[in-house]
Amino acid sequence: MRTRLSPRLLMFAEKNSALMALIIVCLLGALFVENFASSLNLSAILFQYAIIGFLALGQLLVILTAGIDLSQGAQVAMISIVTAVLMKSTGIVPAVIGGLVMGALFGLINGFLVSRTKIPAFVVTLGMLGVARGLAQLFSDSKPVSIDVQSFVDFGRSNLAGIPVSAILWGAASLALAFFLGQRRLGRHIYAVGGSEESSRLSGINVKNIKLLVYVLSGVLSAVGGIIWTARLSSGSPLGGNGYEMESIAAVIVGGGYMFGGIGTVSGTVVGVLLFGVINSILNLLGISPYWQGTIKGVLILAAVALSQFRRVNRSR
Amino acid sequence: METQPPVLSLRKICKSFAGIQVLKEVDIDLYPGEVHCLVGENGAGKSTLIKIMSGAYQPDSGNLNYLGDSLNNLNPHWAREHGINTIYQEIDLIPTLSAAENISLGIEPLKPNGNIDWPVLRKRATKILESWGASIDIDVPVSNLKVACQQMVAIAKALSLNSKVLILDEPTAVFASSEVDLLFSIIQKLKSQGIALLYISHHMDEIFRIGDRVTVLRDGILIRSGLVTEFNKSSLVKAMVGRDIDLSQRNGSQSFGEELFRADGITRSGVVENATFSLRGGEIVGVAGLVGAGRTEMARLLVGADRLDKGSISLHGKLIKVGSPRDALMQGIGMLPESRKEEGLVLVRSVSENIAYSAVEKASRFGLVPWGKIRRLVNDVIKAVDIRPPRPALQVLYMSGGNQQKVVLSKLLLAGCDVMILDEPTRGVDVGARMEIYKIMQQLKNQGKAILMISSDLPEILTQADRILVMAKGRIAGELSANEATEEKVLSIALQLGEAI
Repeated sequence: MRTRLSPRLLMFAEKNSALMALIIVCLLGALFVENFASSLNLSAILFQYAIIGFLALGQLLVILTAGIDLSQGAQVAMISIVTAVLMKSTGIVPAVIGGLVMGALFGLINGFLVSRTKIPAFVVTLGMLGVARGLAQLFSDSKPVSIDVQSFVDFGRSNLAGIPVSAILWGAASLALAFFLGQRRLGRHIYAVGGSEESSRLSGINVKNIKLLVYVLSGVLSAVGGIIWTARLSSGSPLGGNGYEMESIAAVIVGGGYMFGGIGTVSGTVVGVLLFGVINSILNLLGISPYWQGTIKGVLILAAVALSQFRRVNRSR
Repeated sequence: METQPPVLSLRKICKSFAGIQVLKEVDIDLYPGEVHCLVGENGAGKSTLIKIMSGAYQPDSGNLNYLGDSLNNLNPHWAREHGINTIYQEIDLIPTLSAAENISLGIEPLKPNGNIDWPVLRKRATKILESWGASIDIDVPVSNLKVACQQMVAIAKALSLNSKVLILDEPTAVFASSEVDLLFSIIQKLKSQGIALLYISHHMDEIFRIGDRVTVLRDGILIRSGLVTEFNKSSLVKAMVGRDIDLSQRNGSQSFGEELFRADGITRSGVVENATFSLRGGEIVGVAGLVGAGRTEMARLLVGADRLDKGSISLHGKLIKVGSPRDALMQGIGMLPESRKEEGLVLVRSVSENIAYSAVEKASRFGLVPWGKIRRLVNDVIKAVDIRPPRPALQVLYMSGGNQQKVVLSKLLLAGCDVMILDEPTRGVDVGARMEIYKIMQQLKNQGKAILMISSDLPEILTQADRILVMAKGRIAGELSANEATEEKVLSIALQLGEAI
């Protein structure tokens, strides 16, 4: 009985440890940090972290296949430039489509290289990080591209029942993705590929196309995040999204995702994103210097991963 | 049977890798309702042949004919969908998914709206497993299941489709004898359903027990093919090896040295209880028991791979502390682990590096590695143990199972271990290499080393061990000397306790 029960119990605890942390941090924030629990602040957290949230959903898909996408932040920059430039010359619809296509294109190249060559995902997407950031600077002359289309800017700041529209979109995307991963064949095959690539191949799963797909989706989701980011700032910036990939990776891992593939959930990822949002907000409200903030967040990521690793090792021994 | 046409037939199949021809004009026919055994030493080309049948490899030349149609560009997906299924030696399940999901992987039942139909998916798994009388939790990740259960799940997975051909690559390598019986009854059922089975095994007994037809490969060439009744054990072995081999050869010397190693009250709660025994120099002590009896777990405790709750270990009469496998190795206790690919070898590195890993530290002076000296030592060991091919720079990945095992043994030899714990040293190893491993064990014995050999192969324990410990439910349930031990006696000890609780 012992061996049967304990993995389940551990998995339950592991799945929910990020949620526990989120609740505790929220309580502490509400009790001890002035203005934390105000609706203005909570809405600001969602406002800011819905963008990371989109990236994290894409990152989750990639990490489920034992990959990684380091180019997300740089993609956000290039996508914001493309969107802003198109917005000036054409209109909202072509601009949004252009941004999405840009993201899909980045994903397609990443996915092609990862699935068709033996170059590790780490190297491919690190290279793409440089390429995307460089292109963003080239196309913008290293200057922000401002947007004067008022309806687009308004959309970036709009609320529905007090909740930012971007956060509602993120919630909808999360639900859709959870459904896709849990109920659709293709979704389950993403888990299978991460669990064992060779076994998946021998079971007749098209491993290459699934890997291609997750990078494309990561690119498209980065594009959604990038477009919202652009609307929020009412400009495109070649420096945008800097370091966002780190937060998206961290959110997936803190939410129970496994760097070597096959394990991870949408719900965990959403909780991971919110946890980082809340911690970020508290650190800001406490007036802690940005340098310390980076350090503190880094330590939190290490601690969370070490904890989950410790559990895993304990389970297998 | 002869009147029915074969389901799958291969003609003049050739395949080479990097210029080395692995298969030369091999023919084979699989008939419905028949168990066709494929035998041969490791490296004979069996694995390559089945990978061609399952579409994982493309042959360089030759024809595949399936149900009367010629097949070109067979791929694993098509093969699986059209009823050719393979159970590979390395269990190919997705460790992070449940048994239920693994069984339907790639062919998940869908609801009309295209979503996965979970109830049907679960029912499918339960139905197959229950019809075999196997009780397996279908909802936990399969990595939490025992290896034998994983193997059952793998077979169930193969059968979840309308199988016409089922290829089993050494399915019993990880089975205890009761589980082998279960597997064979499953095979009988499949035969009666008209499925054509290809069965690969190194166990002669199994071939004569369930085989109808047998094909012998040697060095990629078809040596003989015919009904099993045309063969007997020695003619089959001779065909495989190309020379006479006496498998029942009894090991010699009975003169033992002093007590080298002693384990006292070794305990890890829930896994191993109060195991006490000693090893003398020049002695091979066998450890028998069913799968799950705690043999491997005990071995891991002895070398510090897991923590002891209670108990002590002494070497040369002195109490020692073993904190880690590295620690054990430095003190002269080496282990050849059960899963050599995961625990014993670094597959992508060269033979010499693998052998030298443990020796480097001992040979190093002032933090510098004397590579010249190590190269000489490694070359000597490669020759002494007869690793083939004798190429120190070859990646271990490309070697056969038997030779990989020899590499692990060499590593222990070079590290200068006095006590060697060998966990299933001949699992997945062909007859020829098996004899060589026995020979190496004899040499070690003559050099006065103490050997603890865990094995699920009873005849092997009976012929190789000077003394036999039988484990059951984590305890050492009995001890037999080589002279008094018989298969019945060992089994009755292994089972007695098992049923009493």
